[in-house]
Amino acid sequence: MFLMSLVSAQEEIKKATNKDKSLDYRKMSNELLLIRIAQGEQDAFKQLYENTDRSVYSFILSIIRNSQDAEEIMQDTYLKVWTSAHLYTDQGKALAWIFTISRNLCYMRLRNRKRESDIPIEDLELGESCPQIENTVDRLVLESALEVLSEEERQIVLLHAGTGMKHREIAKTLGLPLATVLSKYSRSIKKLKINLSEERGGINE
Amino acid sequence: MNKKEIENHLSCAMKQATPNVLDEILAGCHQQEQVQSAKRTVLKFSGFKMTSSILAACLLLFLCVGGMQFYNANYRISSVIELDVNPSIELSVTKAGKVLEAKAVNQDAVEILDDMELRGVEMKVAINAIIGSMVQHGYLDDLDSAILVTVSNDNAEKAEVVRKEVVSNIEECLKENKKEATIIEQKLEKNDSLSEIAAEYGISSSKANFIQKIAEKDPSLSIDDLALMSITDLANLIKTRGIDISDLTNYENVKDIVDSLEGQTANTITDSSETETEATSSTVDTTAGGTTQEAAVSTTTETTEVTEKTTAIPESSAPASSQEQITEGKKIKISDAYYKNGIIRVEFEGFVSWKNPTVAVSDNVGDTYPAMIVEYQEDYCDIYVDGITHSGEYEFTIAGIKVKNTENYTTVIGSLDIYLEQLIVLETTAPETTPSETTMPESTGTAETETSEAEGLGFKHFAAEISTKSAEGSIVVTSLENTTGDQWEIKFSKAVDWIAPVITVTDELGNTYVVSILEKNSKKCVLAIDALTAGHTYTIKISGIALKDTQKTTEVVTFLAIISN
Repeated sequence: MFLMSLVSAQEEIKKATNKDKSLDYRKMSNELLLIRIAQGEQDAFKQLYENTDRSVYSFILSIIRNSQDAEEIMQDTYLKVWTSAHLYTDQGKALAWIFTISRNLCYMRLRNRKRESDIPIEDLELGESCPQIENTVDRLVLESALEVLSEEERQIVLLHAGTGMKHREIAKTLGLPLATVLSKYSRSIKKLKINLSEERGGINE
Repeated sequence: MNKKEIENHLSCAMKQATPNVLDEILAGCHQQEQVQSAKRTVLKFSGFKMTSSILAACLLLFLCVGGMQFYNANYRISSVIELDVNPSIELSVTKAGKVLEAKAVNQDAVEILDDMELRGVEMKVAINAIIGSMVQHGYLDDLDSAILVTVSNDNAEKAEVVRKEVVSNIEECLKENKKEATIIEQKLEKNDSLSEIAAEYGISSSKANFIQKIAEKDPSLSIDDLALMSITDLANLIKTRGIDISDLTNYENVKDIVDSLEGQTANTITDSSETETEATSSTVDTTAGGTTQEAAVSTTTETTEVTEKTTAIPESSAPASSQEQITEGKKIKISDAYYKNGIIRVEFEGFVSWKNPTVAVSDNVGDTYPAMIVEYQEDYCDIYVDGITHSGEYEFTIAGIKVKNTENYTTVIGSLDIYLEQLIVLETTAPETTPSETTMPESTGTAETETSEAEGLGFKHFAAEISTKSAEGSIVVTSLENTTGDQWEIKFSKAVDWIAPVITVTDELGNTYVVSILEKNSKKCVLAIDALTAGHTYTIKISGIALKDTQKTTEVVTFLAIISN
């Protein structure tokens, strides 16, 4: 009897600790989460995914420009985060670290695609960028961004407008001067405006 | 559409577009963990008993293989080298390059060998002695002297290697003795009639082969007459009668044999050694940036474009090399170049030849990177490059290369776009300036599965690069050698103290390896590194080491690229 009560008490403590932990995870920075992931804590991993999924997907999409490939690369990226979190050293740049993983995976995919098709990367067909977006205008704007902007511009625009990351955070994560990020963002939006108005004009005609 | 609207649409689009793949990822993580734990279980299985039986089996295998290799290398005839001038000498050589037997095939050869004890000596020494003796006996006094070299080996490639070595030894020896002779290299196709002719006329089978082929080509010549002639006389006969012996000797030699017999000074039938030396030294110099200007000055009118390139590429050996390429008339064409695991693979259209190849790698802003050619073949080469940390366009300049069957060695310049695969910036020391890098495991535990294959075999081709990333820059690795299977000897530039040594080995995928220090002293250390495999680049970090008597610990980093077992 005594033993049973002892076991149930222990379970309660365990549950409570887990609850505390899940609460803690939400408050934890991505850097701390990575450290916990390195220790095999799956909840920390889930939390990191929740914190970063949109940014990571936007970043991948801005390079690969194809939603199907982007989804696969996103999965690979997080798998690598899980298996290699122990290699991360806390420098306050967890997202940059994850971006580096995704960037390399993207480049590898692009290179493979290039090898298969023998066409320069920049000339590869975009394909259907994001068929899952139901709203036509939303999809049109995104497709326009993927089509007319340069890779760096796409990254800045999708991370800021698409995921709500601040310019300062983007500058830090991408390793660019803040001024560059600001000017590129503003130039990109102008480009998009022109492109979208031309398209609309074309449609109207 | 204004800015705000665009931003809103993009935000909505990304909200909808971002997939939820957490479950798939977690399933993948779970799968990977299972694979990992299965591997760990297999490794732990049956502990000592299994280890000891593996060790015993390995020892037995090692003794058998080692014994056989030792026997093959030292007591079994690997190649038979036949040297014919008029004296005909047959050298039986082991795989290790030692002479097992030196046989005088005719009476002249008996005088040449003159009780020389060549058994057990190095092939080079034996050839030196034989050529020296021939010179003494006045056999190579004439300007049109000729030596017939025939190498037989069951393996055609090995025969080729030995033949080249023999020819090079003869050339050296002739140079030392200030003699000139035409060296005819012969491919030998053994048949029964050869032995009969050789026995009948008391000549070597290689000479028998040579005269048989000549007689076949010119029916007016009889074997009886030819057998009595010296190789020099035979060579002159070939020239005067215009007999095509391309199928008998090396293809590239046919022209040279005529040229050399017409009185040219470079008498070796294969590649002209003097020309080669000049070309090589020129390319080496220019690679170092020493003679760039001179080369540009000497560029002829047809190389205007090249001169322009000189100014465009700082510290490049482009001008001299390109000039050589143009004068050569045949350019080396690169069919493909790509980068993987620290190695740039350059593939060529058609075949190329190499001599002391060197390489320089730079990026598009002119920064140069430590690089070396770790493997070169007829149609490609592998360049190990250190310190590439960013994707971009890189240029490489390869010297000591020529289109096969042409004369001069030249330099070739190419460029490629490098996309760093799976690079993760770990930023362990100084994130903004000198991030240390490693890459992600593609499939964790690959190294573990290959352990048994690599163990105990040692590595034939590997490249070690000295790092400049040590904290103080005062201790560098001067050599890294694979002493046995998994043992690596590292030597340092200065005497060191071992304060609290910690050595880590990681590969480009981020996997770490078990290291133990077998020996350490002030000059070097010997490490046992478990499970290294070919095709990977490893980073070896030694920390807790200090310059002798300073007590100030520092970190020494070196890179090791293992190309093949």
